[in-house]
Amino acid sequence: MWSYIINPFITALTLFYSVTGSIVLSIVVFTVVTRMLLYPLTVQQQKSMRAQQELQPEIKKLQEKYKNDREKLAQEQMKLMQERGANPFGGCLLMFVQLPIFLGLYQAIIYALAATPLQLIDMSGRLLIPGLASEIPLNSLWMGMDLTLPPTQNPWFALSLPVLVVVTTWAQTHLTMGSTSKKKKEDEKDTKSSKKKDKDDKGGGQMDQAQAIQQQMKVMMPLMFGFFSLSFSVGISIYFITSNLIGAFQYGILRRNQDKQAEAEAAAELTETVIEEETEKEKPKKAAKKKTKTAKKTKKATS
Amino acid sequence: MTQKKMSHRHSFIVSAGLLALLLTGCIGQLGTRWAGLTVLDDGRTIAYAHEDTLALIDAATGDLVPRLTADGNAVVDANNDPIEWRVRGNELEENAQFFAAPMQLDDETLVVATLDGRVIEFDLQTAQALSDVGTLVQERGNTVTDVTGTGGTVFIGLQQQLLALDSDTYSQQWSLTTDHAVWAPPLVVDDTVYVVSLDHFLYAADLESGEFLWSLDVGGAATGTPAYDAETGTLFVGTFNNTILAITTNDVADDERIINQYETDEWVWGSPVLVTEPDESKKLYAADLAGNVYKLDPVTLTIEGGWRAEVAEGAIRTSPVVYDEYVVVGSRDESVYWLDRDTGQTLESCRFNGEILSDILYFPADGEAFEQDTLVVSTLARREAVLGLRALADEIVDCESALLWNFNR
Repeated sequence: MWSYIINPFITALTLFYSVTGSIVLSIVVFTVVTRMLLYPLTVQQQKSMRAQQELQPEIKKLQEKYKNDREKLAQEQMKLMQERGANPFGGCLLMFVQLPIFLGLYQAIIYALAATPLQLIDMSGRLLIPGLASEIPLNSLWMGMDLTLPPTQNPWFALSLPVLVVVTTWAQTHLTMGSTSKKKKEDEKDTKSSKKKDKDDKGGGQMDQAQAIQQQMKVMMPLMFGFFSLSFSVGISIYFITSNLIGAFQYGILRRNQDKQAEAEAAAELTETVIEEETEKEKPKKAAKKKTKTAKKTKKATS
Repeated sequence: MTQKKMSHRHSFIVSAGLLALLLTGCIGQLGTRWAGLTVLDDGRTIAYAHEDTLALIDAATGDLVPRLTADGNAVVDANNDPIEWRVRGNELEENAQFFAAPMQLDDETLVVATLDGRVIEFDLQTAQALSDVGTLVQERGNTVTDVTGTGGTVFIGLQQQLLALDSDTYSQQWSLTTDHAVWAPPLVVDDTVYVVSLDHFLYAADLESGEFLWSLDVGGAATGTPAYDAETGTLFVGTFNNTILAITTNDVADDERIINQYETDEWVWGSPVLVTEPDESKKLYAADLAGNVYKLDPVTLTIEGGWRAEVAEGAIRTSPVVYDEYVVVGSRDESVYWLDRDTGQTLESCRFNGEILSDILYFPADGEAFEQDTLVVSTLARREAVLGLRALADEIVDCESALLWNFNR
């Protein structure tokens, strides 16, 4: 079954190689194209995360209200989410959809950069476009590095790649999680006074857990990917770095758009309020004018 | 640390572990290479090299050969049991891995290449490494090419060159630079060395000096040592461009070197085999990674007078073994196939525990060590790592009876 995912990826990677003539360029192009294709999913995921975040104050109120009745709390939370069209598993589901694709990408790179006879023999029969086999094996040498080998078996400067992986993963993780942080900070301000109390609650505990995991991920994810990059071939590091940079760029754009949208919404809300206030102010004047007009009309009629 | 924080940490570690498992484990097999097998000069002993094991196996019995002292006496352990000729990679200083078939240099010496690029001499009697870590011939990349040699020269294919070493000193005699790895041992014909590379080229070089003579783009990567017809001076090369090429070594212009070509269904990995048939005609046997076997006319490079047979479900990497009325191949589908030499029809097939990628060895019955015709097959599995099989399909009642012996790593 994996072949249905991996084989098109290997074919695409080889096709890009046949066009660019460079394995690094083909990995970059391949990663860019794939991330672009996955962009709608990324947007969906981000929206879902934001929607969840926006519900947090209300969920918090519910948690406070039903702190002694977990069943009722769960029912109310579900009801609230249904009303607002938010799916509690929205972000996760999208992640699960993306996971096989990213794994496929990762594996395609491993296969295409076949470094050993067993890896290369596994490549046979995977290319879906006739004639591409003449490109095999892909030239894995780049700037004095062998992309099939881990950084530790390459010249010393290859060790800069795991460092770049750590930095770019950190940047992407911060942007992803930071895109909802503004809202979270506001919520934190609102709830600061009741924080200690909430911590002891079961509902508050769930919030803390999610936040704690997020905090740990911010630190652990870059380190973990840095470790992978040290152990896996240099080609994978290039994929990680490219993917992280594109991801950071995409999340940056999303964040800016969301902020703009939020500002526009706030401005629209403000304008609406001002108009409403003005309308309210003008109401007595209009009523008085109307009254005067009616009085004049009545006077005319009687005269 | 509170219990809650501990559980957060545990859940994160488990998630990270799962991700790592997915990243590394879902790739399937990411091994290095299959076992390298070499028949020693006595025509009975096999030198077996795979992963962490280097061993000498008696092809007639499947037993490991006993170690001998310098005086020729059996080396025994504390219980007076003979110690077998087996070297584990971790017994050597650099924790060696073996994938390339070794080469017997002389009556006393076995030359072995390790994955990390060292050439080590072992004493054929005592199993002792004659140098601590051997001669480093490649600093980076994997060394997986079978070691071969001729007249004082040891050849070893590396990442981007064919290296010719002096067999006494292991100093470099010459090297032939290629654009990609050399995974096939070279073919030596008279004073010329022919070698193919993954860089899509066939190279000809002077045996003595290594001087480049000519090269030819064969259209795809090549991983099998060429077969050679001495009568016509023709080389036969299988490629990843799904072709088998007939290439003349005669003095012609480069664009006239390719005489004929035959299209296969998939990549041709193993070496084609040129065989003189019982009627004195010659035939070329080859297999491809789609599981097909071909018997071709070497002059026209067509199946005229031969056949093309769809044999296995898995790839066939091995070169076909041809004897009596049989053609035998091993496949990645873990099976050995006995084909009718005249028709290509499958006469018998037996499935074992692991993929069969190493070349199959044939030992004819000699009435002494080998009471019957024997095939030696190596699989990727640790269990049934090397098998002794009946070679004659008409003697095989069932696959259990086909098995003569079994060597587990």
